[in-house]
Amino acid sequence: MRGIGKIGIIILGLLIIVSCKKEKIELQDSNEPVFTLNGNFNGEEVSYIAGDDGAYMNTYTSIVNGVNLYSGTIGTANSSVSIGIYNGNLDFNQVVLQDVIGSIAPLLAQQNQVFFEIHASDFLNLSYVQDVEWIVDGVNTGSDELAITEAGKYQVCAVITYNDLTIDTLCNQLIIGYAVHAESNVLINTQSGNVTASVTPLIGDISDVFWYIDDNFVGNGLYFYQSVGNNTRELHCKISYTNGLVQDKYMLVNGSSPGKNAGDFSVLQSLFATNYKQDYKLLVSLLKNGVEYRSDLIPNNSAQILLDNISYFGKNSNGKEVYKADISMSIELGTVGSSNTYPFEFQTSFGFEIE
Amino acid sequence: MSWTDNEIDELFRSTAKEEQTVNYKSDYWSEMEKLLPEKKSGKDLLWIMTSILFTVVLFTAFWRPQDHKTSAISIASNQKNSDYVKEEENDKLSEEISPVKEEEQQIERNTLIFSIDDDLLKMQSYQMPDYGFYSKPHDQMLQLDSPANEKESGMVNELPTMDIYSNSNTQKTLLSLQEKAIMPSTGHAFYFQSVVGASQSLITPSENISGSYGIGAGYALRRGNFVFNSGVNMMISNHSDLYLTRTAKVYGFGSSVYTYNFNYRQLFELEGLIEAGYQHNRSEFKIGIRPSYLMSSRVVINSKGEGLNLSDESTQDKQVYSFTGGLKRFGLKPTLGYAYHLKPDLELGINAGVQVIKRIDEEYVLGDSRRFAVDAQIYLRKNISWQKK
Repeated sequence: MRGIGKIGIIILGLLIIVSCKKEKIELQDSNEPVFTLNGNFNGEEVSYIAGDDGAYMNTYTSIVNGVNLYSGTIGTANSSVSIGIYNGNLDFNQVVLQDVIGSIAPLLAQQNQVFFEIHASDFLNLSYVQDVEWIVDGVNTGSDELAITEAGKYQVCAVITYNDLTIDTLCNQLIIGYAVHAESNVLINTQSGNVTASVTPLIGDISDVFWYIDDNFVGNGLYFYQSVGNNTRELHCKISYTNGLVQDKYMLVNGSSPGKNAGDFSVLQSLFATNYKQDYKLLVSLLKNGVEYRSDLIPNNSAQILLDNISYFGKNSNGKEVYKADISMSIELGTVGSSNTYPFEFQTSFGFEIE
Repeated sequence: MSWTDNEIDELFRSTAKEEQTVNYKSDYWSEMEKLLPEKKSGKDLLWIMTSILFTVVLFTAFWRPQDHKTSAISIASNQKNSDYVKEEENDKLSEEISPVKEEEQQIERNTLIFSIDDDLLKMQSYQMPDYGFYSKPHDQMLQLDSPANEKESGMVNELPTMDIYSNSNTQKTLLSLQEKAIMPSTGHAFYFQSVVGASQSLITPSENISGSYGIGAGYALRRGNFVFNSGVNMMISNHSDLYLTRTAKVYGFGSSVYTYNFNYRQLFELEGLIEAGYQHNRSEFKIGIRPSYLMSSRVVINSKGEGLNLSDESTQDKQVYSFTGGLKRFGLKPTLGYAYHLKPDLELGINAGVQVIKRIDEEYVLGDSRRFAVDAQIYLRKNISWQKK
């Protein structure tokens, strides 16, 4: 009988053990809305809950004048509110997430705050030049003069036609309307087939300078001397600064015809710098009834912006990281071609794609 | 003048030798009746009833269930076995006595002379069947009290009713009882049981009945006629109407609505049993509680996801075990029970319980979780004695 009892206990124990093996089923749980916007635009209520009534939160990164605008849009297909954060510290050539998150300025970006102008005479000996065409980010913008009125990071190329109808192209990167953390002036001189160059720091301290001719490394140091022959060659000066910034400056040198040299025109970016810096500033726009209202069209000198919290939310459908920010704003919006202003107050939990 | 001792002795001897007779005369009775008070018929009935009652009490006193401290001999054991005699036999042999009457009988028993006849000695060699939980070990059966036993029990004068054994009919009855009867006494036992049951649906409105079955084991403790059981049953219940639904709206960049339909086919529960019972003859009446713990289930889950993004849409059916979503794991049922002891170690019983804890998470069901679902169980229980060494 005791044997039967033991067997019974063992069977019962096995039943318990087997039944305790759990198969996990992941069930979704309801949660509170994540992205919302509630406010008032020009006397009318504006309210969106992403996930209700066809509203959604779309996050994306758009590029405005070569600068990332980390953006999000909440609303429906017919009406929506978009908020973007301009990137900053552009001359570091890489996006530092902590910089973006930690440096978001509770300020609005504003158009028509910069003016950059460059003439051919600023870097060329016009006596040798017949024509200069400016290509900005692949777009031909005209001859002789180049004017830039919007902040951005531009790849500017000068297509130079010399009097002997030879054509050379010189390209440099210009950062307009954003902070520049280092700058140097490079002087070149050619004579008897040789080129002499030197680097003078204007902003920041130089840690090293590397010289390349037609992409071939030819030396380093603040001063450079090299035989370049009689043809026009591209001189590339890579300057490293103690703050970690690396700057590239391109020039054209001709050993037999110094008049066909073309100097670095990127240095002019610092000469035209203004107090306006668009680094990490915000852009708000509202789409309603087919009309786009924008914050950068209005001075918004009395705008009130409060960022309560910025935290990581997750990845969007594109696999990009999304941060959620709680923001309150009291600003004004305007439309293109009109001086009218429209008050817009809202509180939002908003998503930005930042990566 | 004074009498000497010898003279007094002689006087008694001479008187005793004289033939003294009393002549009978019927007139004496009539004279005596005149001296008696007036006859009342009611008093005759009272005397008759008192006499019968006294006889019955005296008779049944020897068959009352004895305290375990005084049951060192087989006679007492046989007396306890009498609880399981057929009803007509039992009525004769095992009527309960009140504490007051017991005191009177105690006086009567003390006057009895303990004698053992040959029949009783035969019973000593009788091989008792194994009555499991309800029987004494054989070495305690039919064991005559030795002086040592008497000393231990301290109840030498209480040794009862040897005159019963002198009656051959009673002996036969007792021997028959020894074969059939179950003896409630102090003891421990394991038991194993199989259970089938039926329950009202856990949800309402629903008229469906769910069936269940299982096996169990436990421990039983007997104190006289009282039995205390504690055990556990492994129960499997089948359900045909346990459809639960759960909807979740998950917000993010948009929202997705997930709908889960759970069709619970079977529930696997560990059901405890704590009960106290009182046994009278073959019948045992019980009261207790049955706490339960839901361990597992067999459920078909249908999942639907409807999000704003097409990639979120999905539908799938899956049968899984051990999922218990929507069900509350713990339950509690107060129960009333009745058991009939088919054999000394075998009983057939029925339990009726009421679930006092809602078992369904009402977020999961369109109706309501039934508050007091009634269930009933029939069990067949095998007791296995266990004696500490």
